[in-house]
Amino acid sequence: MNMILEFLIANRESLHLEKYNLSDKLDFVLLAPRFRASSHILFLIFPRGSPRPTLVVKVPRLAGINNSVEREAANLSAIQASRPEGFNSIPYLVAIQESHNR
Amino acid sequence: MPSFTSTSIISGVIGKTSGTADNQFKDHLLQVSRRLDWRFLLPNPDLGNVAYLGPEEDSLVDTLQLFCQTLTQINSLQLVSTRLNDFDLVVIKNPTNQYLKVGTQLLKPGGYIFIETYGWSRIDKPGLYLKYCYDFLQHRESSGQPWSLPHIKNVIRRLGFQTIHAYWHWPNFEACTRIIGLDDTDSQTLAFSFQENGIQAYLKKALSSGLFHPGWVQYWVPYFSIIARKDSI
Repeated sequence: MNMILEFLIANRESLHLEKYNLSDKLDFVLLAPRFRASSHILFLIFPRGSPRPTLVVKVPRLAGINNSVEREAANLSAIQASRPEGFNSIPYLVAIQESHNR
Repeated sequence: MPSFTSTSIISGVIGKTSGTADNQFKDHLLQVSRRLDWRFLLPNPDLGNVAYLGPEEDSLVDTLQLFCQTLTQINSLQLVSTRLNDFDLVVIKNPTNQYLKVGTQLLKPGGYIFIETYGWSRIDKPGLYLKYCYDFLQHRESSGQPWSLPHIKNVIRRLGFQTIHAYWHWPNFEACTRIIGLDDTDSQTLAFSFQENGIQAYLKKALSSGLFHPGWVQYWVPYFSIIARKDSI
């Protein structure tokens, strides 16, 4: 099992994965963007049988270079906090967690 | 064979070079690291002590040199006897039965094997399948060349691996933008339809449900890898 699925399953309750219709069996596709500035890979996590991912996990390719993920997480939190009901058109931050120095 | 971790490279360069050179080096590492995006399919993307069996000239081995703690290219059977159960990861490119057997012996219990190879539908070498079929029919197991994904899985299952996962690298290994699980049909269908809506997504899903019928896809997928864990004794 890969590092992302291990993390999600181990933290199922604290992350409230039931809200995203995610069961014990997680389907995923790993996206590896190729444009020059891209420094991350993405895991799209799908509920069983659904064509739409409900979670996106972003992982820096290089260890120890996490600042852009941290900045993005801070920006998402800030914008969602800017009004009480948040914005459904903008992703919500579920968690930011360091693992293997990433 | 040079061997160092990516962390030690970065910190070494930071102390001795200007900011521009450091940024250039980090950018170089970032660009070449894409060849190893599959490492995020492992429980730990830091690769540790790695053994490599395969062609000496290959982008895979060139990149591994930069991203593992130590890299040992196995080119003599004499070396194998001194390094049994010694490696965290064994990487095999274009597996033969002998590579698979040797790779298993080199791997620590609990370590992982990563196998990268081509199917018959590889666009730049479409005749490969015919050669595999010919070899298989003529020589069976003695040909030394496992000829399909199910065949390789069977071989490593017989060698004692229990947890085995297969992945499709789209469009190929060098320019990979998607890595798709081959263990169930859903992942494959999703990988090609999640960005679309309406009739196009419906048609793609209908087409892919046929092409990705369980079992079939394993015979035509052009670029695939297998990751398996060697069980602890």
